[in-house]
Amino acid sequence: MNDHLHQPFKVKDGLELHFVNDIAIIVMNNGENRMNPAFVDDFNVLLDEVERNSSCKGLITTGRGKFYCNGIDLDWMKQNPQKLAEFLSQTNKFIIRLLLFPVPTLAAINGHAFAGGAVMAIAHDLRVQSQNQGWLCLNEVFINLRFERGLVSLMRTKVGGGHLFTDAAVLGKRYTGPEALKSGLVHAAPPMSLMLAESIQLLKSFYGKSGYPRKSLQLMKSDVFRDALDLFKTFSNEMANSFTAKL
Amino acid sequence: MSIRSSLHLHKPVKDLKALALYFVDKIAVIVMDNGENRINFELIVKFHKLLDIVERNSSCKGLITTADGKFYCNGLDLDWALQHSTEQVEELLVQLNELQMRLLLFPMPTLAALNGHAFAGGALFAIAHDLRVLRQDKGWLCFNEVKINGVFVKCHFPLMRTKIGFGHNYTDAIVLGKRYTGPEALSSGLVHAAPPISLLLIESIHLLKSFSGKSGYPRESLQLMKSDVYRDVITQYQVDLDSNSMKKAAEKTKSMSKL
Repeated sequence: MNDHLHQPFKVKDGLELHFVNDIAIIVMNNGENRMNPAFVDDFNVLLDEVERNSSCKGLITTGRGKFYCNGIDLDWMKQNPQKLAEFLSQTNKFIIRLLLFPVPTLAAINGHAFAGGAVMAIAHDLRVQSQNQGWLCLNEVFINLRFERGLVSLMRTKVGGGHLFTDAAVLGKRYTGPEALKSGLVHAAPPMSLMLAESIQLLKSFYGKSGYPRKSLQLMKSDVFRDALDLFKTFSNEMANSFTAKL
Repeated sequence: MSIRSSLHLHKPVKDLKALALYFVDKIAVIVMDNGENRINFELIVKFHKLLDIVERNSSCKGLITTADGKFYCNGLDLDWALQHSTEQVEELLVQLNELQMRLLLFPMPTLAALNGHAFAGGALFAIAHDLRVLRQDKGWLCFNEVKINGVFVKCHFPLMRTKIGFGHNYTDAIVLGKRYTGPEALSSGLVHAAPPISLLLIESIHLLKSFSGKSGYPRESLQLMKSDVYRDVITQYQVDLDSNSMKKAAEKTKSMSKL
């Protein structure tokens, strides 16, 4: 992505953290940006930095190249079946951390966001998707994976009801940028060259001059997503079985 | 331009100073006229008085609430809250929620004609109505609690969710406290129409009548239907009353920042 981002503030393997005025930008720069323990650990380190920066008013996550995030690293899982349950628990915690992040979050979907990558994007407050490349797709149904209850509840709250929800979650529909915009899955679908600028502008249009009081925002997110959070807690690791069957 | 002159509302049926009641062709119109129309005990008591008169009028087929000037309602009277004890603020919240529930379950269709700003508690008040109309060119509808360390009682969430729907309109409005102009509120489904101010009341009456038709709704049937559709709101409201939710909300209200 033509992002004119110069020197990153911090780099953890394939992940870069930049600060652009009062906005943090995490750039995933590792091919398909698949989620495995190292990815999640590194991401959490960068999120710690963002939280520590008290002048930071918003977070954008994005990828470089063809992929935003293509989901869970299934190769890693095949090679480490004994660590599966622990990893899924770690991934859930990561998704929830993003969901409840104390500054407004925006996923700038530069390319493909499939399965876990789509879930990650949906866990953000706002989404912007490239007009002419990449698909946003919850394709779990096509690859014999299931959604645990907390995730179903979360997606319903974020995506909405009616056929928009069922097309996306039950039928695993693939959305281009313009299609995602039309269905309310993303807020904007600009051309690639304008992605970053529009994302920053959109984020700022929400947080205004002073930003959100961090604790207030975090509490509001906890209240609004209460049903999903309760279900995540009560029914954790329901997914482990469907993953095990895949290995 | 005065709301009242737009409809040639002459003599009110009842004038309580900050609040007045008119009847226009079998539709009751309550007009607030007290600056920001902040919610305090006085406003709540007066509102109930007028709602009693509306309910007693057996030929009345609908209720519109509106206001004169820049504000529909800018929320809770925070100045008052800061100057009074937590117990008194708790009592105010209990009474406010009781008024909201009465409006939510009112035995005739209700419409909030937003002549101007509806922030925080004022937005919640508007969302408790069946229908909303927001003027096209001025004023915002905004649930800005998140920006001012404000608080919702638990029953407000199923209320807002049922009225706004799931999806980004809900999260934009409540998590991010988005401000909506008339046209924005219209395109996101938060209001049914966004006419110019001179047509606000006329369009509101027209919209209300388009729903109630010639004979209106059988009152008991409408009230029962509302109770069924808003069941989870009512259930949570009971829990909130029985638990210390109102007390917690009062404590938080006392400590919130003023915007």
